[in-house]
Amino acid sequence: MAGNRFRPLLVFIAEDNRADVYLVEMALKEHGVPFSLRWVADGEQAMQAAGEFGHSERVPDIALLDLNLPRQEGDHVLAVLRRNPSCKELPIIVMTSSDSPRDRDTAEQFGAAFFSKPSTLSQFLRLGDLVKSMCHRS
Amino acid sequence: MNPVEKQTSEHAALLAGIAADLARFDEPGILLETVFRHLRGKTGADFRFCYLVESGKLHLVYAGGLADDSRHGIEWLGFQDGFHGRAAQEASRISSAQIQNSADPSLAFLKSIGADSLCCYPLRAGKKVLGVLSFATAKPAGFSAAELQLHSVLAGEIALALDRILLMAELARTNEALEAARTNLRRANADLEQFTFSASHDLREPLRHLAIYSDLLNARLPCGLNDDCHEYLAVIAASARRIELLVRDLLAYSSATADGTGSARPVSGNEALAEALASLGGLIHECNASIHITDLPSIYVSPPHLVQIFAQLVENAVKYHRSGAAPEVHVFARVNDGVPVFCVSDNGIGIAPEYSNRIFGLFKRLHTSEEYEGTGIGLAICQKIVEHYRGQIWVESRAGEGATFCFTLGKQIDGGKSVSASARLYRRG
Repeated sequence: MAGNRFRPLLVFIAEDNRADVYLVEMALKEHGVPFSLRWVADGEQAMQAAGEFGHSERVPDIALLDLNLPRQEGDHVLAVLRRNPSCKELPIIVMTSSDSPRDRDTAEQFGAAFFSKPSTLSQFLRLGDLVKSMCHRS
Repeated sequence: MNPVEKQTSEHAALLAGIAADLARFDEPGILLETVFRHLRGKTGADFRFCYLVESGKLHLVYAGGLADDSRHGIEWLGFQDGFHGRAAQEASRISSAQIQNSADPSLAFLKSIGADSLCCYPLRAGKKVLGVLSFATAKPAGFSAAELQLHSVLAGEIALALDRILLMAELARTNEALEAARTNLRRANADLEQFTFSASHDLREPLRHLAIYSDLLNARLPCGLNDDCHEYLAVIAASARRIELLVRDLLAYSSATADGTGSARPVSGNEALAEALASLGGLIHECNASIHITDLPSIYVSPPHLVQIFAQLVENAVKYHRSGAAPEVHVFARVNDGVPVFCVSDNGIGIAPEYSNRIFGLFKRLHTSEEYEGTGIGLAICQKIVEHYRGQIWVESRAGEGATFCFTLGKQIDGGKSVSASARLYRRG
């Protein structure tokens, strides 16, 4: 179901910081990935969307998830996503600005990749590579 | 049996009868109540009083032979007040007779209840006076010699029992206070950790954006438009990155000993060092460093703590090398009185002795970040971990002559097995 050459990649992103959403878009553009973004800015909306994938909402090709979200913790969103039968195989990238081992463990536990938000532009742009490789794999 | 022997054996029997009471109760009033009930008038005293010293006064804790409501007015006495006060003040027996004929105002109460003779005994524990035990009788003839003898023996026994009770109460209060302090400390520590984590985490986010968006602006700015602008943006980005690094290291410092010593277990110094060297990645190879390792003893420690100290000390030993001289680092240990002293020694730039304490301070550096990169957190973390185990860390060095960092974390645990002299050489590449 992953992005074929006719359809842009549907990227679901749960991120409360607009500055990071821009950077994600930039990283995807930089790597020539055609995409459309489904953006939610808090944990509650993310939970809601996660439950609707495969029902009233199209299942995304990849999900990018900030663990530190307002209103609901990111790991709750992860749990809901993985419980949704349509999202069992969904590639997920957990993004945080921490490099705490706890966050890493959370990602691993839910079979998600881990991306520690870097503080240089060039490193951030590598996120595009990661997205591309994960969507090809699935 | 002569009268003295008879009396002594009677006293012994009486004391044996109350020994259990004396040891059993932990409330003075109940103890005295029970003891005197068991003695059943053997004291010849119609009235019995016991005062204990409390906040510089005498407090009535037991009044025998009195109706409860008639205690009023005698519950607190000063050390200057009458016979009880004097017995406590002078730590000696004070007695009075013919109270019914006396005009002494301090005897007015006893007079009013019909007492004619009074005998007050200080309750002594070592040099301290705990209170006063007194006996009063309405008999005009006063107490017999045998009764007086018994009073004196009782005062001694009761003083011992009360001393035990007071010490136990004090111990309980101290324990309670300690427990409360411990709870507060634990809560404060948890709050602080939570605060530091949130502060560091939340602070890093905007700093990251400041740095990246400066990069972005710099990349988009038309070339040659104004060269200074590129330079300014680069400075902004570098500063933001520097603050981010400091915040990250502050977080590392605050959480260095967060798991306490709960995960402590026997750890081989050799294994900890190997893990530390592996964590340094390409640094050792890049600097063309040689690490000489001697067999290291085992200690009881939380594994990441020992690894972290080794990694930091070896990293410093490699990083602060003299230009043109490949770093030669020796890691070894000696055991002093069962306590291993781990040492990391190098042939680097060394440290002038006047700085040998300063370098362990938080964010204290001897070089600019242009000369040698770093934030000045590494040795502060080492010091914090070492202090956590009540160990020590120090440096032996002179400027230009290399440095030897030594630390202790606790006793050796491999049953005093001596450290073998076999050495290995570690080169990573």
